[in-house]
Amino acid sequence: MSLLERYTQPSESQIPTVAHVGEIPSGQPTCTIWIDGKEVTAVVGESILRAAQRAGFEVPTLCDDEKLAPAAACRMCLVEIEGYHRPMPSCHLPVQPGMVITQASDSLFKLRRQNLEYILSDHNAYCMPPCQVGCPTHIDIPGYLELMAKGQHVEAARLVKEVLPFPYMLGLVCPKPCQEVCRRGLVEEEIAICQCHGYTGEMVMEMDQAPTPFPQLPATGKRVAVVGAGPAGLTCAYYAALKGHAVTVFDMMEKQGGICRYGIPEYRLPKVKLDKELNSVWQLRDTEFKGGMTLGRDFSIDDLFTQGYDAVFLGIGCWRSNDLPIPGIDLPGVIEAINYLRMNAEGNPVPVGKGQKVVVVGGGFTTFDCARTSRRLGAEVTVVYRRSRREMGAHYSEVDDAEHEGIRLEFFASPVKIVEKNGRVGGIEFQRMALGEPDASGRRRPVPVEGSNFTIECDTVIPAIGQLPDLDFFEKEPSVRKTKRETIVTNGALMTDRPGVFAGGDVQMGARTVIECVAQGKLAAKAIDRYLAGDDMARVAEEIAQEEAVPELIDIVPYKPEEPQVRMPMLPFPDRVQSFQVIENGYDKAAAEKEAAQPLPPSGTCRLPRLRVRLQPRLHPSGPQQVHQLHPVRPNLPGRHRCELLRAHGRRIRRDRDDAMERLAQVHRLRLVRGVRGDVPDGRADDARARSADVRAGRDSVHLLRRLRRGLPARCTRRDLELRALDVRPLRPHRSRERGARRRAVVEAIGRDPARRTQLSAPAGDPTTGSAPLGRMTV
Amino acid sequence: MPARTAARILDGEARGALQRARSYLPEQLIDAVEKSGLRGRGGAGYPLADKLRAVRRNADGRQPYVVANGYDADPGSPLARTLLARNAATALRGIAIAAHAVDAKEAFVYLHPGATEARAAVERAIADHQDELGIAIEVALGPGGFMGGEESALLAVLESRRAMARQRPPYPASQGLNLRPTLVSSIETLAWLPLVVEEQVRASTKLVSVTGAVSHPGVYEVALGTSLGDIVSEAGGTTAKLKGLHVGGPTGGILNATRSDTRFDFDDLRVAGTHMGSAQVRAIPVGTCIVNEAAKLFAYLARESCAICVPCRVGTKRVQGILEGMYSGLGRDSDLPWLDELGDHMERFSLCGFGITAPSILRTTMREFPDDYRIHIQDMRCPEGSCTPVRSRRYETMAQP
Repeated sequence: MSLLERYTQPSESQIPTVAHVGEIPSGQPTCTIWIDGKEVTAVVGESILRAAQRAGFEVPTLCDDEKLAPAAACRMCLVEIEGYHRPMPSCHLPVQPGMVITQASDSLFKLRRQNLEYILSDHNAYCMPPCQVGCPTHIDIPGYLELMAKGQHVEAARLVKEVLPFPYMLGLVCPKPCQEVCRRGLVEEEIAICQCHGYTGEMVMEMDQAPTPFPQLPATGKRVAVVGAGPAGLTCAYYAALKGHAVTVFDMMEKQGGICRYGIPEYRLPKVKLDKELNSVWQLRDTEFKGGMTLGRDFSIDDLFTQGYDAVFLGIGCWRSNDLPIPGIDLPGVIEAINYLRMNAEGNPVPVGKGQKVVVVGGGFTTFDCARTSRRLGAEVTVVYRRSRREMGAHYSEVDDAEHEGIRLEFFASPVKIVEKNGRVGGIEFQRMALGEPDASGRRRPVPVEGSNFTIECDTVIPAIGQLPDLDFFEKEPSVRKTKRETIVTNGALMTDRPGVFAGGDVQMGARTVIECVAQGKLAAKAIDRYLAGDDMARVAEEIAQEEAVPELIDIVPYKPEEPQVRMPMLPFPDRVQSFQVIENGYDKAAAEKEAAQPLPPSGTCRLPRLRVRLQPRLHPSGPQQVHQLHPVRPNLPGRHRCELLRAHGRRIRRDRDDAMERLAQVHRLRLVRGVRGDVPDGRADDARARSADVRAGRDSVHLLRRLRRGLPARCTRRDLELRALDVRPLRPHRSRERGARRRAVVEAIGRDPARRTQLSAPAGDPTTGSAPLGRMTV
Repeated sequence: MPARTAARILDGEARGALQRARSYLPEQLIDAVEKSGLRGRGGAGYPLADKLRAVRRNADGRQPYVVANGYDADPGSPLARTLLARNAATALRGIAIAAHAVDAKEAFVYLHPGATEARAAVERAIADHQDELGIAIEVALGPGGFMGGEESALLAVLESRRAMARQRPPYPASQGLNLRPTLVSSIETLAWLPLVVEEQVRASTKLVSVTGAVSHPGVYEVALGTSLGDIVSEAGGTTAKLKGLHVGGPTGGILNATRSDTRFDFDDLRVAGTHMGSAQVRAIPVGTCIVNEAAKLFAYLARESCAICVPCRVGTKRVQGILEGMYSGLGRDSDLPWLDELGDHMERFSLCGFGITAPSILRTTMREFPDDYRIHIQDMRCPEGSCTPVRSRRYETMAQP
């Protein structure tokens, strides 16, 4: 019976699937074949590919699927079989007793590589969408958007919670790396991916029992101690508990949430709802929270192992602000940023109030949290940063919002000293900076301008120039190493030098975004589970590195824009003064479903990236088509490395959009001058205004080009005006007519004999003059 | 041997053949077919007797089908149309004999949608000879296009799917239409059966379509083994000095005019680097650039590929691009080995005969007309002065040696 025939048999008479891992069911007739000289027992009637896969041979294939009839279309699985004069597809041929098969040889490798090159050269999209690649947790974004568009919000939440247990929280605080690279942004505006899962998170929050991605596994009898109830710790606890381990979470604060509760102000993340969402962890069996326990003071890692915990996860975050090394930093009136936010979050009185003048130094998320908090407390706030707006670490929307809320921004100024007045802060002296050469991070290093000092008068100074983990307990833990940047050293599986002790989140990466911490918590839970099962951790590290490899993507063909992003209803700016009310009011059901219905289609899993690694096709760049570069993430520096990649990725996509526009312009003989872009370099923190102008200009010109293509009047005053406004000028509009006339003239002069024409246009025997007779066409 | 003395299918009658065939046992019938040396006229030249035996062997109690392929995939080679318009009754008798040989009760005549005359003739003949034929013969129309005539794509069409090729084995003889054993054979092959049965002749002629620079282009019946030069003379001789002969339709190779003594036979053509294919012999006159010809052929193939397998879908497109770049004055020395590599890959890795045979165009033209390539690449001009550039940039993709 052939494979095709078997595929059409009723299911009860089909051979039980033994394909991928299982063993041959007893009673199945088997036969012996030879693959690469190795004797393999195969089920009679199964495909060669299946037999080879079960025997551990990795025959490359793209189109093979258990559920489908064999197609033999991708031609990757071709093998050489004795008795056949050409390579045959192994997915399509049933095994026959005594077959002698070669599945790996030099010639097959070459032919397969050529084949893969064909596939890649013809491949202008990627099955894994960039947003999913871009998100550190790799949520199945098309999947949950599709579910949401169908109105299946609980299912959508389940899908999200497979990798991200706290969709509501992230919906509010995430810097949205997914949206940076959204393919829809190529053609118009990115989808509000974050707000969408925020909505599902908010919806399922009202359920008595939060949905879990899959049922909690039966208890394993192992115990895991998680130190730190922040995003990384709680994520780790959530997934470890789902795997059936008993989890205890320790935290130095009384309440759960870590930096999300004590660092992120109420107006960005309402704590009542945060609690509701985080409580989904405690709804799982065998989970426990112990607040008010500080590692190093109340207990040590040894204590945890003595108490019977089998694994420990350290997710203690970054709670110490970097020092600002200038004179006067000890004066009263200088507040530590994290402490300030924490006191405010706890409801304690803070030394900032109405009418006070506050200067916040820095440009990151914490800077703006401090500044906007102070603003809400009634102070006059100035944010001072030593580089420009586009180098700021905070998301551009946050910078924009802050400015609209009435916060003054001062760029290119570096603090020199704090001026004393009546024994406390009276002002702060700055020196002007100018941008110099780029440093290692690619950002241009600011250099001081001599004699440009100036002073801003103020009562309070908040230095917010980054945080460090507080690793004081380390002195008692010689078995765990730390880096120069005060972070914990781990291997690719997030395990420290001490077996069974894992670390992740800010304490491992340095202060980073919440979503990156969640991603690490998830990976750590996976690693812990494997550790408790007794697996080889080097192998686990390898697997994680392979899974986290980031493919780089390509442009897509221009796509017809339909709907702009559904706007998140925001709190009006006047209402934000002196109010900690949440500013993002959340989507309603209709808005969420509408937005979720918008993505460009693809989803699924793709075997191409792995094959690319194996077969090493000879790809070389040729303009915007170059694609699909796999960058294995360096396991010990996942966060930072990925961020750089992402930035490059965003640049690539923006550049490709520009290329698409250029091509369109070429088709329509228009010259596209991107004056609006000008000197705005790409990067994560583009100047917000320039960026939005850029997007608008891009969209308008694409729209215009589309109008032109639809055959709207070729020359009209209005169009000319529009073109001028965009600095798009018609490119020699009469050229085709001119060329036609020229050709006619030539034909009249020399007649229609092609041979003579060639002769005339190229003097014989002198190939060096001018263009060749068949001259390269110039368009 | 002059063609006219041999048995000819264009006007052979063989009225009593069906009667006679029915008096044979199927095995005897197949032996008779084997003795006649009848090989498939569809292009591959597979012995019909072997095919009949395979269908019988695989039948295993199931009812096989007979599909007579009269599709004429190559628009320049209307062999089946000509045959059916002139002698539909013999063709239908042939189908009935084949059905008897494999115990089939149902048969299909598969035609091109544009072949209205042939279709009318077949329908008329079916109506006229209904009683004599004794099996159900249905006329089925293909989708149009080149791939519609491919053996497995044809079965897909009959199963109401898109005309895309399927991997073989399993061959139609074991799993064809509706997964039942199916005899798929060209109508020209089957039309031989009545003559073979009644007159015990050897199947020694072949329909051939002579086109291009000849005085009387058209379909001729010639003896297998006639030289290509004689075939051209049969069609009234050339109208201009001959540069080359394109044999075998769109996927066939182009032979130099100096090789016009090549015998028109399945094996000899294969040795010469081309194949019988659609049995078109096209006379290419001096003044035609062969690079341009090859590019045009590949442009046609790239358009017509069914696109199921990668080597054919992308390979034809890529070869077209390279050849176009070459005659647009953008060729490079490295293009020739590259074309070799692409042709090799297509031949080894393609799924059906389309992709496997297409590289013969590259093989033959590069071997027989090296000057055309050389002048285009090195001197950056057309040897015949006839090429007009169509590309302003080389066909560059990410992947190339």
